[in-house]
Amino acid sequence: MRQAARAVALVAALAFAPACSQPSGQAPDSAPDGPRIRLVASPSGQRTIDVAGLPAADLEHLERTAPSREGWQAILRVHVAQVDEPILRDHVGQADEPVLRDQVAQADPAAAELPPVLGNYAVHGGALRFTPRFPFDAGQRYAVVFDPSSLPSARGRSASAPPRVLRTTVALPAPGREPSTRVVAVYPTGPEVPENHLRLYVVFSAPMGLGSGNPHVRLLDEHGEPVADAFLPLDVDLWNADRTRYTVLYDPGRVKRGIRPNAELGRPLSADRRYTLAIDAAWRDAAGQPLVAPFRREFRVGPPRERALDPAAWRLDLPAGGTRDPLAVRFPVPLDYGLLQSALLVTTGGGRPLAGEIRVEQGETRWTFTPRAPWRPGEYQLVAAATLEDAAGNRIGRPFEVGAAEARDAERARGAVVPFRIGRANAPR
Amino acid sequence: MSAFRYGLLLVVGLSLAVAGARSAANPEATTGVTPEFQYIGKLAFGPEGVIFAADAQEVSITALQLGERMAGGVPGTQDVPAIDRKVAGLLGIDAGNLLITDMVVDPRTRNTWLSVMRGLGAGAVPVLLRVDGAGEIEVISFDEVRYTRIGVPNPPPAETPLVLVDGREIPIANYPDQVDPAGLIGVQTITHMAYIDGNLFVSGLSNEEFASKMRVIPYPFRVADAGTSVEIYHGSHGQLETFSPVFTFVPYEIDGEPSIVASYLCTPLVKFPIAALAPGSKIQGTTIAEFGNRNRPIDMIVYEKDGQDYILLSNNQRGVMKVPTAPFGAADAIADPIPDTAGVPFETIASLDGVRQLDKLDARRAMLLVDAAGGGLNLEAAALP
Repeated sequence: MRQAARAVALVAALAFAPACSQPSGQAPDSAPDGPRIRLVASPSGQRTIDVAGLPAADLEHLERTAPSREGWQAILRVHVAQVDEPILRDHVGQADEPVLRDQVAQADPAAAELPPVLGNYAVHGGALRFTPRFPFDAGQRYAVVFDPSSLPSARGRSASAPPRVLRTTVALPAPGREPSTRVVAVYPTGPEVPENHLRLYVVFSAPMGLGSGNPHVRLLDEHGEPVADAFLPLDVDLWNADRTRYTVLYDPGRVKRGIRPNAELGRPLSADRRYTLAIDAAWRDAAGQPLVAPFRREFRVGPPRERALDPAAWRLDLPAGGTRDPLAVRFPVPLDYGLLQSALLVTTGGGRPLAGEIRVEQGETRWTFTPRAPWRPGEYQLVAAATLEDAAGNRIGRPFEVGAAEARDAERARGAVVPFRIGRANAPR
Repeated sequence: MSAFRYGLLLVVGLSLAVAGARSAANPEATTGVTPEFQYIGKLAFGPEGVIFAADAQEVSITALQLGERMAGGVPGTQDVPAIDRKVAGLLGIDAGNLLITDMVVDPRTRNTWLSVMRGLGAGAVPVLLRVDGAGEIEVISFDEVRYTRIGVPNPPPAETPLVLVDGREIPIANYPDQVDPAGLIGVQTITHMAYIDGNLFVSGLSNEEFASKMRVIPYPFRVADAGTSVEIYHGSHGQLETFSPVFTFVPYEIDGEPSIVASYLCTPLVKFPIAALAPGSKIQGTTIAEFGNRNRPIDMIVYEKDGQDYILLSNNQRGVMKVPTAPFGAADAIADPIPDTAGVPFETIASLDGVRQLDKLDARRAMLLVDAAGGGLNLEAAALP
């Protein structure tokens, strides 16, 4: 219980009024027994805003009349406060005794533009309680206005002494996180890519946020100038399931010959030139923090690769039976890193897949498979799915550049099966 | 590396690892009440009382059976300036932490629906909202809402037959999750959905491969039937374009033939008959217009004005285009390289600038989510041009 209460180490702040310079913990304008606005944490951790210190007659009235949503909001309104609203950060009270000071408000500037935060109202534990529909965001400031004008206790007050409207700003402390996420890899990893390179993967050390990656990734030429329109103008971002791998697509219309963008603009990359992929640090991770550091990767561009993949050119290094040594497959050109995770598998001769671990190495020219169980001597197959591609989108039996003449052929998606045999342990291979 | 037997068999029709996503592991439609979402993206209206919502994180589509709860208080949609700030304010966050993922107009009530993510970080919450004719913004509660859900696309079946060149088939069991659960199958983003006569048409984009695939899913979603996938090709300048993904499409009858008019990246307009969308087929669409490069289509609607049908197409770079449909039937496939744009005529509507989302509000107006002067977004109706 004590822990739960400490977790509510709340920050309360007064906005706008000169009275904010008063020492913390005091509420000079409030009668000691008058209404007080508090940010409260329930034992379950749910934060609510309570107005305590209301006369019993007011609470009874609220329970009896059960106001409409608009009626409740006329009495107690919670608004998202402007980000740039001046705020005096004030730790108030002990860690396990969150208290807020109240402030008479002359106006409620947020009300004119923004609707009140959605939530439920109730009389609970001798207080008027607002429970937000969605939990309050840590670090977000909320303006709270309590207006008792419609309550019984306000009746009979003279115009010269109107009911006192209370206003305060509350905020859960922003988590004091430091940036911790970084770019850990960019694929392809090799020093050279083909001129018709199609796809990059950026791998992060932790999940990233939902904000668009587009503004944070740039291609720079040899002079450090951005290459315009290099990447696909997508408004949707392409991620793996846990948002640690981001896919960057070169504009395929510029890469593919004969397509109009290619004819007009040429390819984004030119052979024999050097480029830098630059990722700025402002990109936010899932914790809302920027990256630890910007990332740069320089690479050179080689001639285009326009030939279909040919599995006959792959070289297999076979492990010995009885071991868990990896099967290694070497490719004459780098293959697509993402697809190497999914489009190659090892099966028994009968087609039953083997469980194991995949590694992609040596600039995506080497793929290894370490089985979970030792290799039994016998027949196996390396199976390549039709989706496997190199960095330029060439597939098995189907290059990226396909003319209408080859259309019929191109409609055939092809995979490949490469049989191999594991010998007995220590037998010569 | 000395002597291993090297045999190579080319196989045709191998479709391993091309469909589904890790977490879309359920090939069967699930039903229940009070659905939960990881992410809420594209929306589409189904039969009366049903709205479809795509979860791009889980790669699933959920049919929310809202019934009478579909209607807001007042029919129609009133303009809401600064809609992003107002929605954020209702949800208790700053507008900078709000992501609007789709906007659609219910053709029955003319209320406008928004799918949003409340927050951009790990704790982001998917929220569905409705704006009514009085400008009231209401959060749609999923409590006690009945739903059916289907993973898209199908996870691969337990065994995939590989057809060898000599006609033999060998069964290949699918790769076990333990090997590489995250990478087995690429996560897709659903780019557009439309419900047409008992079928939900879905276009998508993979994070690992380009392909202009469209899935056709019968609704009500059936057990063990997540529909079929067709690959759509279109020709361009003597090249066969198989890679460009579909971003938006509308059903449209061309010369009496129910068809799909689809807009692709960079921005060809392609037609193909719905009847050709047979399971597993690869069909060639006809490119009838090219609207310019470095451009992504966003939304497309069909409307009638002065006895003529038009398509209104919004784009992320090239504004909003008005395209008369009369020439569609007779339009020849574009075959030759052309300087910029070609095919059926179109007009760029200069007054419709900064349009992020577009849908048809009624016979005379479109509903827009549009950049506001000074930042932010407005929800506003505009006369159909």
